[in-house]
Amino acid sequence: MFQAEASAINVGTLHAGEMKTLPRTISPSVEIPGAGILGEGDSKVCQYQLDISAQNFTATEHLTFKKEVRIPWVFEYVVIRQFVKSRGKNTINFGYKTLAETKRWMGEN
Amino acid sequence: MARLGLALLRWKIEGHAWLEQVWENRWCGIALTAIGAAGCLSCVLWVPAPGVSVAIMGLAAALMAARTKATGAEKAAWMLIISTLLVTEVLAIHKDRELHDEQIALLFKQGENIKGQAETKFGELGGKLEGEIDTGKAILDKTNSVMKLSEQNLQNITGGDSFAVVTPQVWNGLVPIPLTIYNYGADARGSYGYYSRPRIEGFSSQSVQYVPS
Repeated sequence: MFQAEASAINVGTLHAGEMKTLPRTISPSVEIPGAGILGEGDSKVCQYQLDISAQNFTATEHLTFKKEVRIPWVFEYVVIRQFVKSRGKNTINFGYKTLAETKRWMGEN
Repeated sequence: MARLGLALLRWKIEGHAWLEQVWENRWCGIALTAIGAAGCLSCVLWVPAPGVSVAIMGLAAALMAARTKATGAEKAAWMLIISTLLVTEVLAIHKDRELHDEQIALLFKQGENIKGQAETKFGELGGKLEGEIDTGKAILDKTNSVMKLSEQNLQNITGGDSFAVVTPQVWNGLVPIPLTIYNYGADARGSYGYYSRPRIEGFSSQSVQYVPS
């Protein structure tokens, strides 16, 4: 997986249940080598990693696109949060909690 | 010395004979019977405490036994006196029992009064305590409400457990794909309303131009 060049978007206040359109678009590709492309042949997917920081914590969203016939792309995502599981004398063990994930490719019939 | 002893013996014999003559005299019997009758009458009129009549009855019996030469009428009088004293004793026992019952009843009444007063006081005290408890509960409820509001405010300020998800809008088939961001609140069900101020990093505006990290 590759992380694209950081270009932060400040969303502003987003209250519970609110959806905002971002001032960016995204153009996935499975053609350009080394550009977040996973898999081989027809099972190639394009994956992005988005760090969504808020005042409480930072969640990481792994956004994966797959080519589709009916519409150009379908996607799935998993949002995880890293937390400190335990602290040793010189070590810190992190745990990961899945906050949200799709169960299937979204946009697919 | 012997003469003195004989004189003393003679006086003793003469005194004894005189006392015996007095004791066996008819008038002594009448006087003793009169005294016994007077005691008996006083017992009948002023019923004494239990035991007094019995004591007098014992004395009368002793006198009757000691007067060996009493006439038939005297003996009958003594028997009447003793019988009357027996009845008097029974009356005394009854009177004592009634008095005891009255005292017990009075004590019970006093106890009931005290109990009633205590219940009234306890009732008043209980009412006051209930009032105080209600006041305390109301204060506690208010405090809990304030605490909940404070916690809610704190969660709104800090964002609580809310998180946002970027969702590409692929359904219209447009490329480049528009992006939206959605606040899930406290959890994926959005059961709490926390404000979130997300900042997204990790992809380029020219998103096809990836830079390997």
